[in-house]
Amino acid sequence: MFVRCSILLVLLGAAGLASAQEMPYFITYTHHMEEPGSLEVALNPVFGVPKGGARHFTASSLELEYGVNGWWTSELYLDGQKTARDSALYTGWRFENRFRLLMKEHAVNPVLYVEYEDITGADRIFKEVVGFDTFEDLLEPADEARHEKKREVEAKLILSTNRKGWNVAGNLIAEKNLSGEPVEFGYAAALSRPLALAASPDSCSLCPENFSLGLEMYGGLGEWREVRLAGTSHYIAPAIAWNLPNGVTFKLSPSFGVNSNSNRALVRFGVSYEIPLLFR
Amino acid sequence: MNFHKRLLITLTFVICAAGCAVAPPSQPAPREASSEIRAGGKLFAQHCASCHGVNATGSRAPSLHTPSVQSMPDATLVQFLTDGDLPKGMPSWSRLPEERRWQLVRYIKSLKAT
Repeated sequence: MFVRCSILLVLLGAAGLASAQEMPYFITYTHHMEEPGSLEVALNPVFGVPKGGARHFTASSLELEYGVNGWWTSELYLDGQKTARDSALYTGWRFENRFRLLMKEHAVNPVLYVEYEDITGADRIFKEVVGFDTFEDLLEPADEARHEKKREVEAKLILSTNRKGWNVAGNLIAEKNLSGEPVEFGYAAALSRPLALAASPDSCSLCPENFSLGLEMYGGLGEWREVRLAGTSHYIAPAIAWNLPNGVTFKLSPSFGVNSNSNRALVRFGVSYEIPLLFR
Repeated sequence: MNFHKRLLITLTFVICAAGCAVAPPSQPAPREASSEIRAGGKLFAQHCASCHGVNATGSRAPSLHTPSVQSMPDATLVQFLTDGDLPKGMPSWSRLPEERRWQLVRYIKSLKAT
């Protein structure tokens, strides 16, 4: 599936130029919005290496990101997963909106993020880690976890800045399960930089300007009335993005658990293509 | 020191080394002007042509050959690219490093001659 979609996206990319300039992050959001009228199609598989006897899994999300206007970006995700020795599952959808709060570039640029998700307990995308999420959540077999409905509202405060070619971003996350569980908190932070700041005169695919390196860290911060680090899980993730001139971007980021509550590793891949001015 | 601490230190070092390996930002020297313009033209084709037209003569967005654009000081144009005009649909190009925004401005200003 991943290979087929990658080939499709590369073929789409060969069709024309687009303006992709993606950050290497998978979890952390920046203040950069989708260009108005442009649609980005992305496929982001995750290969999970859990611990405690949980089975390995492959999850994936299909992502459709649209620039409503210069300060508003909407995104729809469709999630699925396949756990070893279980059948493949569709695990739900998410719809998110990001609103840039200041219309000009400032030292720190705030963005408000609001998301509604309707997923099952078998979802393995790990788009964020909140509350007291731990590796033990994966011990329940997917065929049983799929019966657990999770209808959640999530808000993020995104703070992001660019300095001398570096991007530094931090996200504070609050997530509320509408079935009545307490609000859970989490964070994500990242920095990245292109390998070359100036563009070369000639078109090229493998030149340093097309590559960005980054580092992400994310994890849980407990829940309402129990904001603490004890019992939470955290991950650190080096990341690389390769922006091809035809609008296709490839990303790779292995996340490593940094404490005893974390999964061993979550290896993320991403391939995306931006279609400029689709509905304009 | 456990594995994760060593990993964190190593990764931080690699990222910083990658950043320090690149020269600090500077405006192009005159002898490099033609290659700067070519680089700017390449960036224009990638990021701007879909709205401003392949020749920057305007399409969904205004022409960049107009006197109001061509008479604008370079630094002002770079700042405009940085900020964009979000309510009117011009995106912020702060995601591009400042060096590339300057290359774009070099290219846009070279259009005056044509």
